[in-house]
Amino acid sequence: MKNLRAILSPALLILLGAAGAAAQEPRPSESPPPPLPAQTIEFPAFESLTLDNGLRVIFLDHGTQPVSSLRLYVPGGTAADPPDRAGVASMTATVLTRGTERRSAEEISATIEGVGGSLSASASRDFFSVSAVTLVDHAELGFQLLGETVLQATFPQSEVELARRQTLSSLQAQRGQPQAVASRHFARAVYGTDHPYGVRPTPGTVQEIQREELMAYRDAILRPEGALLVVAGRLGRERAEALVREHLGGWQGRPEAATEPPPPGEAEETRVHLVHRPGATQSVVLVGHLGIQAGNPDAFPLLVMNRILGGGADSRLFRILREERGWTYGSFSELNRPAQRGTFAAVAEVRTEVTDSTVVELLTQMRRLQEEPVPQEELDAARNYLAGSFPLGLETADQVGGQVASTLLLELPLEDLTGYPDQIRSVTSEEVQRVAREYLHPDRTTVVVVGDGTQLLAPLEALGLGSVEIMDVDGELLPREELVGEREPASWDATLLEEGVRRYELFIQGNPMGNAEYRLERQGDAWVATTTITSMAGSQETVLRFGAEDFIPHSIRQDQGQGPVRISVALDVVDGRLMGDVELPPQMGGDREYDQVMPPGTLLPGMDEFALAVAPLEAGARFTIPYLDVVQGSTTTLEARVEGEEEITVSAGTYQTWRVQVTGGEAGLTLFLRRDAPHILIRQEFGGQPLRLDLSGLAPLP
Amino acid sequence: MPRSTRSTCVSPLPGLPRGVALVLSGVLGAGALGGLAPVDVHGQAPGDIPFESLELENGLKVILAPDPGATAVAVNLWYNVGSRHEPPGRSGFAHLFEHLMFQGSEQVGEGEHFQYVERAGGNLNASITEDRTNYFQTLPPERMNLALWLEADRMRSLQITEEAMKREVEVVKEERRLTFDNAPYGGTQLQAYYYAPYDSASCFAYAHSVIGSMEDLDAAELPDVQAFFDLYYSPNNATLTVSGAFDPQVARELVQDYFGDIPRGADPPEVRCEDPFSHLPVEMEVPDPNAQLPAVWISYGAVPRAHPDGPALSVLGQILGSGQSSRLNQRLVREDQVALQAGAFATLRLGPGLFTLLAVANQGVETDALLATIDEEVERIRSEGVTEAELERARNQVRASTILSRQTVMGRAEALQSANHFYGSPEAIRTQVEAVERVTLDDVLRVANEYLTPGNRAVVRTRPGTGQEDHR
Repeated sequence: MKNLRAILSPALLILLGAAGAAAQEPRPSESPPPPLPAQTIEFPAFESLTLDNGLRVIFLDHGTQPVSSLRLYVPGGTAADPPDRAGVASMTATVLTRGTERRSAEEISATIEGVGGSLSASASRDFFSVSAVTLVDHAELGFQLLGETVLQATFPQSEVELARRQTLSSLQAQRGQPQAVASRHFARAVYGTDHPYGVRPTPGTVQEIQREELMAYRDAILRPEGALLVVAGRLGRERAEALVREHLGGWQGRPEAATEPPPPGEAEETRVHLVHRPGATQSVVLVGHLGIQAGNPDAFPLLVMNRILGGGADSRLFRILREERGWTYGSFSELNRPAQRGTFAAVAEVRTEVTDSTVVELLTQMRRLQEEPVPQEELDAARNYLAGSFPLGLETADQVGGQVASTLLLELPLEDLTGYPDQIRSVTSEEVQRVAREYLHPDRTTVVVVGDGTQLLAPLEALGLGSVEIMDVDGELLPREELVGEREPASWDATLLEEGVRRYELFIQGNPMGNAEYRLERQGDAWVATTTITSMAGSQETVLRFGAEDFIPHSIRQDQGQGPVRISVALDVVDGRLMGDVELPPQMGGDREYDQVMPPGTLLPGMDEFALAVAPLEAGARFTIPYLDVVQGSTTTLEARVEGEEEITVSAGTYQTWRVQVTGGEAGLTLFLRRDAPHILIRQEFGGQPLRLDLSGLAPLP
Repeated sequence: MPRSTRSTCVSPLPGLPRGVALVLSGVLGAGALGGLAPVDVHGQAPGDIPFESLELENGLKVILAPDPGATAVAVNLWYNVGSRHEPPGRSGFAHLFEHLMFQGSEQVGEGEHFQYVERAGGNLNASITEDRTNYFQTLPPERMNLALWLEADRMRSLQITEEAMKREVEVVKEERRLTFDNAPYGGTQLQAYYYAPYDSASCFAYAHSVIGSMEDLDAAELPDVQAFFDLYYSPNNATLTVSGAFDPQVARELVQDYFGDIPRGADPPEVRCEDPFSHLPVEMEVPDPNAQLPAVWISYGAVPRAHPDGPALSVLGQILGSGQSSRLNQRLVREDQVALQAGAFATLRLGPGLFTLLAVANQGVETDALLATIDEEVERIRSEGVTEAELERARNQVRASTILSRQTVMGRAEALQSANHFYGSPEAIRTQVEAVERVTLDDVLRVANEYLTPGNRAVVRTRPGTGQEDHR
């Protein structure tokens, strides 16, 4: 079945002739132009005021548009979730704006959206915030709703239940998102479950949360003492102050004292966590460890170091893994500075085959920063980017407000913000090397890989980095046997096959675009399967021979395509040895010769269909089929999973079929196989592509 | 999940959304291209963007939007080429080409474009849709000239090697895996936005995806790439916008100096897309091992963005599916609680676009239930229309989001480019919002009845994977 993919390579395309460009004088060799005269850009001014109730207010008059943006922050985000109740903070944020003493959730959303504004609450790791954004015309309404939400939220039971249901569904959805899975596992591995940063909500904790707990959490943290309100936009100081006093002046109280969590334990050795995602075509790789806390005096050299390593396109990880090797769409590093101790991580999403090499490369680049001083050019590049682009992040009032807020909330000196460019420009190469040595630990990292464990386990173990722990997406440990050839190579009873001719129609986007004929004939001690497929993209003919009793492959001859995209296969299996050659177009790897041992149980392309035709299919059954991928030149494993029964109608008739998912190749296949043996193919769908192959006729051999 | 067909694809900086839909629509009042003399600069109302436009002899259109109070400058170049120009067998080509534009030109070495801009303190990226490719950078004001120099050099003299091409094919394949093959609902979205609603025989232009197929990507060859460049990457097929803190006189001189000697190219061929929806309705199910929850996408055949019905469809999308108080959110997410999330939006293109509704099921809910509820809400709007309060809300939402999006120099540049590309003149930045303001209750009722018909839609359901239990 896999070989069908190749016939859709295109016929030669006749492009419209390129217009002959008028001959032009070549320009003299040039360097890029030097900068135009520069203007100094000052950090935008802002004013500060603390009300009697302890609320600190920042007034920031800035921006080109008449926007009024109000953002209120209090300490205590998800990290303040009560033990065993992960999810309280984020559910509180969801329900806070869904009902006050004056208005129901519907009334609130109709009112704020009615003026084109937004009202929301959210919980980040360290802080809880409530925001109202409107145009200046409706600033009064923004303040009104902000005040109402903060002071008079009622947490209706029905809203709590709705939020619970949404959170549970959302957690379910995240299981399918590999980056979210990786991030969750990384946090747990680095922090452990005794530290709030290592804990995330689970269906178990969310199910238990009560309305009273949300309200208790709100009562504990949402108080004016220690809170920060940023009023940003074009509202004007006088009007803004009046509105603040009117709507938040009556707010009272101090928050409950937060307990400092115990410091997280340092890793003593490298550990590899392999999170198995069956059929994944790409792996998410995270390599890292504990990092620093906000207020660390080495912040600026570390920012420069991180930029050089993986802070953007002009950084080592991007250049090497993407620009040089083409392994990934993006690779980066991140060093955060939260209220408690943060993390450092280098990340990449790469195709399965280069996952192990990627882990090695990420570690190599970490070490390189420690061993070699950064060359002047790279140091300049990093400093120029960080310092030069800083004003670009100060365009809108919200951007500026956000910077000011995080500086103040983390109790950092404002000079860190207003003097950022100068601080960056003073970092030296020696300092970068020093902080790399002090804060990077390539010899004791946490490595998290989320991908297809059946392909990844052996290569990752072979790296010899440390113990490899295997788990599923939910974090449940999996035994090695789950991934490693635990089943005997399946033995297929070839005597169950039947002679005959099957005809298929190929549909592309619902339009009939080709035909195929599959003919199976007994010749002596071998089955001979002759397949002819024709479509607009060309034709393909295959003759496959394998043992009629023992299913052992004998030979394959295949020809497909035309011109520069022709593929030709001529392989024989003699005494357990695979010999012959394969002609492929250059962009698929070029010609290849074979003379090697054929591992027992490995099938030739096309035999997988016959294996399934005689397999004992039943709902839930799984089969592993090792076969030779002639394009890659290696043995690969297909996994076939029987999902269930389905009745389908094709032009040849209506059939009861087994629906079978096949993974392990370029893209998944869905096969509909006749329920009764031999389980001939009734329909084939190609994952993510608008193709379909349908049975159009059955006949005995002529 | 991404709800747009745009891929921001050169540099996936963490934290940036992978796709942002532009829902603005409107009807252009007539606007002629300026000659070499700048047109008068308008006074500044909220959301307004004073600009002047001019055209070089070689056909390059230039829009200058100076703002002395800005702290940055945006240099933004739109080429009138997208996936709609790709013939069968060449899907993904325009997107691959967008990657190749960073691989070096006569004065700029392979991979140096990124370096020049970032080392000057700038941010840059590129993105592609069915209808256009854009290359953009935001820089400190004193580096405007660098960006212009870079853009001109690669427009004039892009140099691509076989090695670079092969490598970028691999990068694009990883991008495809990241966005579609390894991500939940990727396959569904490919069906819902391309393969299902558009008839590939009469409108291959929109019937295939921007990201392209693995086979077509592997089959890309160097002569094809060169021919593509020659045909589409010419000054007469491009619009350059500069916005922010700069002196327009300096900008005009630099543009003439850097771009003036690039020869005009041939006019690219017209794209054919006639009667793309006549094969509807279709209904299908997409198996998705990555998805955890069932979901359904419904795409109705709609109109080009500049069509008179564009504004009303946009408003319908707001009322039906944008925000907490929208019809779909209220009914599916809050009242019946059958959906985790639900939305609706009009994706209007240069050619015929789509009106899409979607919903992701809550745990334990099947797509039949989702579809039945969505159909009821659609029927309700078709028979009763919408309320004055909803209409007012939609107007205000569009107005506010327009103003918010024009806070930044890049936001302003994009607004001008989009108006110019879809309506023929940057003047449309003013008329777009006006057109939405003029939409009446009758307009919304009429377009709901005309376009949201059962015979005019593609329904694509996601059949989620069976999860991890299967594997023990």
